[in-house]
Amino acid sequence: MSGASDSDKTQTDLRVSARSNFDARALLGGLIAVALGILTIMEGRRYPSGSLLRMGPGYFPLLLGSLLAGLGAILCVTSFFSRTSPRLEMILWRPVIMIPASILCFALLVTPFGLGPAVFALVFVALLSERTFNPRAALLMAVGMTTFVWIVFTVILAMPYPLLTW
Amino acid sequence: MGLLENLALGFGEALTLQNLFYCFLGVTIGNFMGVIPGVGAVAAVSILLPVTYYVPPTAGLIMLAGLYYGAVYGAVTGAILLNIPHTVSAVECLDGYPMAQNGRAGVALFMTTIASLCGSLVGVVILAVCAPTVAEFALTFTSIEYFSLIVLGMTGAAVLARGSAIRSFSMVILGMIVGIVGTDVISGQPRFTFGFNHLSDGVSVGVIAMGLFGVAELMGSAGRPKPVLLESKTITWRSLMPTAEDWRRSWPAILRGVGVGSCLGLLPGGGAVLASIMGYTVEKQLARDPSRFGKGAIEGVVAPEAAANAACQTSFVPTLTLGIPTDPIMAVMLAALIMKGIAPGPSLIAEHPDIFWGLVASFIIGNVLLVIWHIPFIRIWVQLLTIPFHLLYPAVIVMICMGVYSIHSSATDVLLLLVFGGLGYGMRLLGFQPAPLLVGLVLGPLMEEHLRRSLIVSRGDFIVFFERPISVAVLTVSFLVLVLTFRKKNLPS
Repeated sequence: MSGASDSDKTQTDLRVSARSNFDARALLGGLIAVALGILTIMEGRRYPSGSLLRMGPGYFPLLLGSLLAGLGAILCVTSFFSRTSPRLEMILWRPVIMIPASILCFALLVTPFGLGPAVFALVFVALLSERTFNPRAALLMAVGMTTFVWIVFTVILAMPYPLLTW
Repeated sequence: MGLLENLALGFGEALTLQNLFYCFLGVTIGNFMGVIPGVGAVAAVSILLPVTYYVPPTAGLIMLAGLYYGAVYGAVTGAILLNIPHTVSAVECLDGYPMAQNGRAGVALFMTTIASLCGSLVGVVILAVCAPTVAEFALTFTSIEYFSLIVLGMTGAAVLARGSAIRSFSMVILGMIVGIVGTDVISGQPRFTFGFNHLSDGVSVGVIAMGLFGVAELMGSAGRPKPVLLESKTITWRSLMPTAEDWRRSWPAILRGVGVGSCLGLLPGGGAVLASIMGYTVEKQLARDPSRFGKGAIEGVVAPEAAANAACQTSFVPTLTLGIPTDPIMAVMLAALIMKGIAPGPSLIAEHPDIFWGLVASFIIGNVLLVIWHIPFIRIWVQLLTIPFHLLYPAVIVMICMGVYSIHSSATDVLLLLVFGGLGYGMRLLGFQPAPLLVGLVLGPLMEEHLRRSLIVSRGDFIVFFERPISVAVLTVSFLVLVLTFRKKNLPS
């Protein structure tokens, strides 16, 4: 946490007070687990659960949902008596946003426009994760990767994906 | 058939030009992915999982396995020179990096290669000897025994993972819930598909593995400043040579590491990561002067490395003979087998001797190839560490996306990748490990099937799991593991 991070607004330190015995991460994780467990139970109730003798498709989901909700509840309770000092890792927002965005670009472009635009957009957007983004280098890298993908997947492996289509 | 005849059959299979090529490809790419930071072995194996669609089953498995042990070999390079705690080589940093700081990086790299080779070769021998015996024994297993073994596997995966057992258990259960998505094997009814036809076959293990281990990892590591590389130029042939003192200290450590690793690999939930940690712990406990550890003790580098590689090989025993994976990589391998229409289980060796023995022989060939690849070209591998990360991660994302897309030619799968990437990153922030989730995902559907079958046989009576001796023994072991872990974890460290 030295040097570059001090003046950088894109880097956020979410450290929770180390003094307390309360682990915010465990509480949040526990609450999410309870929520997911309840959602599983709700969805599981839509399927016949049958009996122990002949379990229906809904039995196992109900069991798992209850277990997850139960474990989540234990996590919530124990989060107040944590021994470890809770500390969130430093989040760099640029990659956290740009990497999913690059994958989204690929998913949206690959079927209607083909591999070329999809890979190009992916590489370009992914490189926006860098604080020192260099448009020329990014362009070069995007073109390079597109060529590489075309050679490996379309030419060598002969997969049925066109480079460009509309 | 004797062991030698089987091995002859295996070598005949593994030495065909095609299989040799895929073995070479696997270990080389694996080694590459292992050396470069940011891509773990799980992501490496899952990225190339779709390639197995296009090649025969033996070649595909040989390649995936090669990727796995190749990545384990390669990971230690980054640990020693960059202090990067890779998943499989986290403990090698503890003494490997100080060795590099003392100008002994070459020795560390050379000795770990030797340790890897010893670990792997002993592991392969154990695999070749144990697997047929275990398989023969397991032929008598019914759904009841399988259910109990799966319980053991899940308990192992949960308690042996890093972090608290409750967190890991939540992840196992969450993985099992994700495993429900798809068509119910017994009633044929689609479940948890939320009206999407796309989900009626379930979510591919490869998509989930690449999301949790690939995308999530990159979201956390891209755009960060890189640690400084130590002495990339000074690794000469001469600097590789260990002294007599190094050999004297290393040999017993390697042997102990191999022993620890081989045993842990056989256990469900063990695997290479745990083996390397245990290998280190054992060395530190046995050392006459434990204060040397953490300051560049060679035992602390070679023992975990030997243990990890031995475990890497022996963990194929439960995966191939029982169909129960011991760690996330084995879960992906299992998915590859099922994808090729081969049911892993006790009849695998009897029904597909060419695949099993071909795989065993390829492990021997692959490990020798790795040494030939690694030592003479060590300077090139070290140079890989100097490649700026911003040139690597876009390429890795491209490979992940292409890998996912080529499974079903489906852009929806890429969107699912995004969902699991986000989930994985969220889990990471909140301190949850993704490994137990993947094990739960693969074992969950098997567990449900065996549970339902057992209860049909027993007319709905749970007592059946406590009536058969093997089932009782396995459940008792699971219970003991659980109790011991909670007792240990409740002690203040």
